[in-house]
Formats: sequence, C-alpha cells, structure tokens
Amino acid sequence: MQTLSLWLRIYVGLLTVFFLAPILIVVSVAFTSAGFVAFPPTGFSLRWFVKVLNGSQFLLPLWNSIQLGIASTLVSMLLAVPAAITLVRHRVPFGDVVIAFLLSPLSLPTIILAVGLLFFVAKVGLGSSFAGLVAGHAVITVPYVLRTVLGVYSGLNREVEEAAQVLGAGGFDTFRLVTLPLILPGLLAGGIFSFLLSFDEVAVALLLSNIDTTTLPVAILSYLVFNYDPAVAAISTIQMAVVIGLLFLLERIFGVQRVVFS
Amino acid sequence: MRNEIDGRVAWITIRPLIGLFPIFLFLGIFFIGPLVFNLSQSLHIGTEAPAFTQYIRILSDEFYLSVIRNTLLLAAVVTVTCALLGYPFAYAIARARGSLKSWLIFIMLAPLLVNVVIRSFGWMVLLSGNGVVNWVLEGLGLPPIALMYTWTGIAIATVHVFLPFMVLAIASGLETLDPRLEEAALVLGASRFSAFRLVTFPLSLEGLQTGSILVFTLTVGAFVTVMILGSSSTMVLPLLIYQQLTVVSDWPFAAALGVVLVLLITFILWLQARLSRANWRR
Amino acid sequence: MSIMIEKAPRGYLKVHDLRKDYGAYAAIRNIDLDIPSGELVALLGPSGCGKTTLLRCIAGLVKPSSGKILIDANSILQIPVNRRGLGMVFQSYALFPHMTVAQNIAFGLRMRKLPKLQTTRQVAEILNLVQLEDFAERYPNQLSGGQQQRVALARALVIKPKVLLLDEPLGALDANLRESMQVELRQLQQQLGLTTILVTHDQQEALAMADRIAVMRAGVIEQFDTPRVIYDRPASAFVASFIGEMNRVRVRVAKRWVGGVHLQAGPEGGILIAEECNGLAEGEYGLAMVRPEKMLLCDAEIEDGTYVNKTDGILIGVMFRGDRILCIVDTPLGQMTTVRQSGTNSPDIDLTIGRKVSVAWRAKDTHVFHDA
Repeated sequence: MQTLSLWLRIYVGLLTVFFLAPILIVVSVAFTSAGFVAFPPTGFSLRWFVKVLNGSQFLLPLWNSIQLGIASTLVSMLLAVPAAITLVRHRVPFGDVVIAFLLSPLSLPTIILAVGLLFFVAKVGLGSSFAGLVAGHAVITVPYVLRTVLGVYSGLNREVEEAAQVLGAGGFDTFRLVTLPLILPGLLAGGIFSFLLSFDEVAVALLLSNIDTTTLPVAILSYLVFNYDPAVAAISTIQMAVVIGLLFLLERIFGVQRVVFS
Repeated sequence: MRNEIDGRVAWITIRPLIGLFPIFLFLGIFFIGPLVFNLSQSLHIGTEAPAFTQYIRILSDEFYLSVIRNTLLLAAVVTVTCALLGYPFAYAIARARGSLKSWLIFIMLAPLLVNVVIRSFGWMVLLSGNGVVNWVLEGLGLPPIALMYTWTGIAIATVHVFLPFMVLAIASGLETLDPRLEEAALVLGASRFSAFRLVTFPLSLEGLQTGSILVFTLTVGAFVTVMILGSSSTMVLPLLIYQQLTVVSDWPFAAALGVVLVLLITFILWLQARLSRANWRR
Repeated sequence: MSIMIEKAPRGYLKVHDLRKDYGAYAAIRNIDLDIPSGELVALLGPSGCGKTTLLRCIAGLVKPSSGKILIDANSILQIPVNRRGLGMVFQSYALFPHMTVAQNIAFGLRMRKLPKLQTTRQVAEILNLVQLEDFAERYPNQLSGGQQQRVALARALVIKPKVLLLDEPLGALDANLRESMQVELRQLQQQLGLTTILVTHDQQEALAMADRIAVMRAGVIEQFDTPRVIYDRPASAFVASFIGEMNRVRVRVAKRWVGGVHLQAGPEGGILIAEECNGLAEGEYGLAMVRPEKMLLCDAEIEDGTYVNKTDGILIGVMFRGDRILCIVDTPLGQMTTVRQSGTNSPDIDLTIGRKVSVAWRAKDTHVFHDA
C-alpha cells in the first residue's frame, strides 16, 4: 500500500480545492480594480491595499493583534513550562485529574469565557483592557502549550538531566543549559499554535476590547457589518502574508517544521 | 514521600510541586472566576430577584428551545459531514509518504493560518447571490442557488472551518495503526475493501470519535460564521448570548444562556467519557 | 597511553546499614559496603534486586530512608547531588544531544568555573585518553555506540571524581565490543587508581572486571567477596546458580559427621557425599549443586579415588562451544551438564549420543544449600 489509489487521489484533489478555495478567492479579490466585490476580479490593481494601508483603521488593530498574540503566548509559556515539568517529574497526587483540569479550557466555547470575563471585569476590574485581553487569551492558549510541552518533555531522556546534576549543575543551570534547549522546538511549535489561536480569536476580543485595543478580527468584523468591499480582502491578504512570513522566519531560525508535522 | 533523614516532611512533599502553583492560580482567577461570575449572574445572586427566573424563561419559551435545538442540529450535521469528508483525506495523509505527505498536511492546516472572520468573508464571496458558486453554475447553464443567509450555507462554511480538526484527529489515530495489519489481512485473502472494513476502520474509530466530539463541541460554541453568513432567522445559542449581552444588555439572561451552553458541552463530554470507557472494556 | 596519567584522589567509600523504602516496599535494606580506595566493586544481580537504587543513593539522585554513606570518612548524605564530586556513566550514556563531544566533556569543568584555557586543555587530554581526539566537534548522534560510551566515560572522568559510578555502561554494546571495552575500562580504572562501582546484571562482566562482587537479590546483598571466592564458595543457592552454571539435585541430609555429609538424593538416587552442608540439620531438605566443569564424564571405572560421587546415565546431548564441549547426560538424579576443554589431555571418551556413560565428582565440589 505504498501509493494512494486513483479514487483517493481524485478525492484529495477535490477536497484540496474545497480547503483552499475561500482563501485563494479572497486573495484574488484583493487585487481587483473594481470598486466592489466580484469574482472573477476585473483587472489588476493595488488600490485596495493602498486604501487599507493608509490610515490606522486596520493597521492599528493588526499591530494590537500581534502584540496581544505575543503577550498571551509568553504568559502561556511561563505558566505551562513549570507545570509540565512538575507533572512529568513528580508523581503528583491525582495527576490525571490535575491534567484534566488544566486542559479543560480547551472544551469551553470562547463566548462563555468572554461573557464571564466581562462580568468579572465589571465587578472586579482589571486595570486595563489589554490586561483583560491577555488574560482571556492566555486562558484559551495555555492548554495547548501545556499539552505540547507535556508531550515533548515526557519524551525526554530523564538521565540527561540527572547527568547534568551529577556533573555539578544546580536546578536552574540544569534547566537553562539542558532542559530548555531540548524542549525548545516543541515549545516553539506550541507557541506558534498559541499565537495563531490568539491572532484568530474573536469572542473575547469582541467583548473586552475598546477603541485602542481593538484586534484585527474585531476590526474586520465591524467593517463587514456596514461594508462589503474588497478592502476586507486586502487586509486579509496582508494578514495572511504576516502570518506566513512569521512562520517562515521561525522555520528558518528554529527548524520547527519537523515538530509541527509530527 | 516520607523522609526520615530530613525531618521537614511536609516541606519536602510540597516543594517539588511548586511549579504547579502559578498555573493553578492563574486558571483559578481567570478561568474559574469568570465561570463563577457567570453562574452567579444567571442566578441573580446578590439581587432581590428569584434565582431561577432566567432558566424558567429559557425552558418555557419555544423560541429559545428552538435555538437550542438548531444549535445541536447544526453541530450534528457539521460533525457528520466533517467525518464523512474528512476520513478519506485523513486516510490519504496517513498512507502518504515523503513530500506528498507534507503537502497534504500543509493543505489541511492552511485554512487555520487564516482568521475565521476572513474565512467566513471568503465564503460570503463564494455563496452570495452573485458569488463564485452561482457564477460557476451560471456558466454551466444551471439556475442559481440562494445559499447566503441559509442554514446550508452556514453549514458548508462551518464544515470548512472545522474540517482540519477532524482530519487531524483521524489522521493521528490512523498514524499509530500498523499498516502491516492491513497487509496481513490482504495476505490472508481479504479484498482491499474488506481489509479496510474489517481491520483498519474499526481500529481507527477512536480517532474518529475524538475528532467528532471535538468538532461537535467546537460547532456548538461557534458564532462568528453564523453571524457573518446568517440572518435573524438562523440563530444559534452562542450568537443569542452575544446578542443578549451587547444589543439587549440583558446580562442575567445572557449568563443563564451561557450556563445552558456549558451544560450542553459537559453532557457531550460526559457521553464521550462513557463511550471511551465502553471501548476499553471491549 | 601516551600521556601521564595522574592517580585519582583518594576515594574510600563506606556504606553503612543503608535502606530505601518506597511506601511499604523496601527497595534496599541492610546494605553494608566497605570499599577501599582504588577498588572496583561490581553490584551484580537480576533486575529489581536494588543494585541501581543503591548506585543512585550513592550518587545522590535518590534519598535513602536510613543509613549512612561516607566518602573518606565524611558523610555525603547532606550534600546535594550536584556537589558530591562523583563521576557517573548512565546506561543510556545520557550525552547532551544539543552539544558537541567537546562541550559535553567540558560541562563538568564549566560548572566548576574552570578558566577556558584550562578547560580546553583538559578536554583535549581526556579525549586523547579515550582515543577520540578527532571527534571533538562531532555531535552524539554522529557517533557509534562504542564511541558514545567513551565520551560518557571521558565526561565523567575529566572532573577527577573521587568515586566513579557505572550503571550498566556496556549493556547497549554488542558482544565483541563489550568484551574489549571490559578490558579497556578495567585497565583504565586500574591505571587511574579510581574507586569504582559497577552495576551489571551480566555475571561474566562482573567476574572479568571486579576486585570484589556484591551479589544482590530482593534488596539485600547475599554475598560480598572476590570473584574467586564467590565462584568457588557461593554462600547461597541463589549466588551459586546466578554465577556460572550449576547442576542441581534435591537432597535430604541423611547423616552428618565431622568429616562430611551423606545426602539422600531421591528414592533411587542413592547417596551423595559432600564435605559440609551449610548448617542443614539431619532430615532437612536442601539443594546439592555441582559445577559442570567439576563433573567428570567417564566410562565405567575411574582410577582417582577422590571421585566418590558417581552416577550412570545416557549421553543425550553434545554441544561444541569452540574452546570447550558441553555434554548433557540423563541420569536418575536429573539432567547433568558436564564441561570439558576440547583438545586437552583429559581421557578421550566416545561422545556418541545414546551411549551409556557415567559422571563423577569429588565430595568437596558438592555445594549444599537450603532450598530457597
């Protein structure tokens, strides 16, 4: 069973079209010269890119989204790494229950979290809108990072850490020089996924952001409520380019591809 | 873990677990906290109003019940469609090797690189009155279909959004399957189809189950796609919550609807736990 | 070896009444070891006997429940693992995969804040010692198993440890390589005069390398002595059958007197004679054991009068092993295996399968134990 049968190949081809169609269409619409959304696009023009890039209507939210993604990912990593290490190394009482609890935000629809956070912020307050967004996004992303690091760290040969200790490394040195470099590819893969999740997130951002902290999805959504024109396609294409660029960069630096694909 | 040499027993036991404190603290405040607030809002805690007003309101109004029904129905349809469409693709990924495999995985993950709002916008372009689908149909001499603002259109777009998750779950399950099992069946005389039906498919059910539960819970909680592609006649529970919160500003009601949503999800997960325990008993 | 090898610092290891419990389960107990500087002691036993737990207690990776561990008369139990100054080679070698060979070896020196120049020099010296001079910039996954093992060893030795701990270091190598590494390792250890503890489940390895062997079972040391003594005078049935091969017969002590013991071996087995019976009382059941190489395969009569134990049987198997020949004889006492050197001056005897033959052995070669 080395190659795929003909039927399977045909099917895969059709499904590929299904997968990629909306994306490719959006990109092509972005380059239209028309003043409205039409497919196939009439003519080739960059006018919508110009419109979008002039002024902060979309650029500020894009920048907000990037900052938010990085911040919530960092918070997730800081929370998840010590937890994962503790869970793997020590026999935690009720370990299974603990892990189930820590992963439970995965099953929660983000709208609920968003609503709850809104009530929470209304009663308790959080200082800034950005802090609320980071907190909300971190809750959503931390289970993914935790799951990834758990997987990577439990596959690590524990004797390598012990060898470092016998050779004279204390707890922090062992972590810095041995553990961290070895879990880094997996950690980064989890981090990328976490960033994309935050970048993509709508519910929490919708309810908790204000004028200054609007994220890109929310900005596009608001725009769509009143407008239906290729500007959306243009900013979407820019966003895709940013994400793909980021991934490419990370692949170059850290060779994350293998881990993502495994 | 008693330690007779070092008398500080409790300290020794607790100290290694210190790595769990930050995450517990964080989730306690920002995950459990909001849920608790949600619950207390829905039960009118701290106010004069009787506790279960909102819940009675939900359960006694046919409209709200129909919203719940539609939510579950949409989730079911999307899940089944994803399972049917996704399985062959997952099978292809599991069986493919080398660069073909990498490409297939990339294609499957590509939609995730794009914002759900953008994806929904893409489907708007495809499904709207003078959108791509109708453009193709026109070209073929067929009558146009109205897919925008319909459940069908929403379902199609939602399938597109969540299909990668289904494929990923099934493919992971199939990957761990030893291809030699199927080969053994072939050697023993089974046809390709029988080998698949009797050997591969049953063993892949766990991945299929995981994917189905995942897609179902995701769809139950999804509202962006419905918001963009739907109308007032296509209402799902998450969207209703959002509406009640922002448009009507009926916080207790929105909270109660949220609790109902959480209960639905919990029920589904409980079902999954029962099912997987049943699997193991086999 | 082309360079001067410094003698290692003194490392006199003493373990006193050590015990480690995991809940109700005692992994090791009543462990007493007295290891003078420069000696290589093997901890030998089947898996689960506690030998690795003991090693890890000495290393500091496991905290014992009670007892003492002293190096050069100082207790090390209060010292954390990263300050004990010991060297350890793990079963999996545990090389840092993200560091080069040179960086791996330099790690311990780096922890000791040694200046860069000295570090480089010492790393080069040790690479020379283990004959891996050209491999400094390679990564562990580019090395063969034997080379990785040497890097692990170099890494442990470069810090000039007081005691060297080896956890089944040769287990992952194939047979030929293992034997040559045993010789090399032993030579190196002796040249350095380094106190070494070797954990192994391979009795050949223990016999070949150790000054003394501690045979362990179920958490206790059953015998702690030189290989020769353990082989010739095993203290228990377990030690006797764990080290080397043994023929065994269930017996009952018939009569004891000053000169020896008469043992009843089964209803038709007849009487076996031993010189002593390890404290068994008359009437008690036990196991009589004889080493195959002490059993003589012969035709009917033997001239040597010391071969008082004799039984007749049928030759049912002959296995040529290169330097020796194993013969399996079916006797009323059970199946007996004898070993004879091939091509020696022992009397030539016809080895046709199915022949009637006899096996005989001396009274003093009969080991008697409690039936454990």
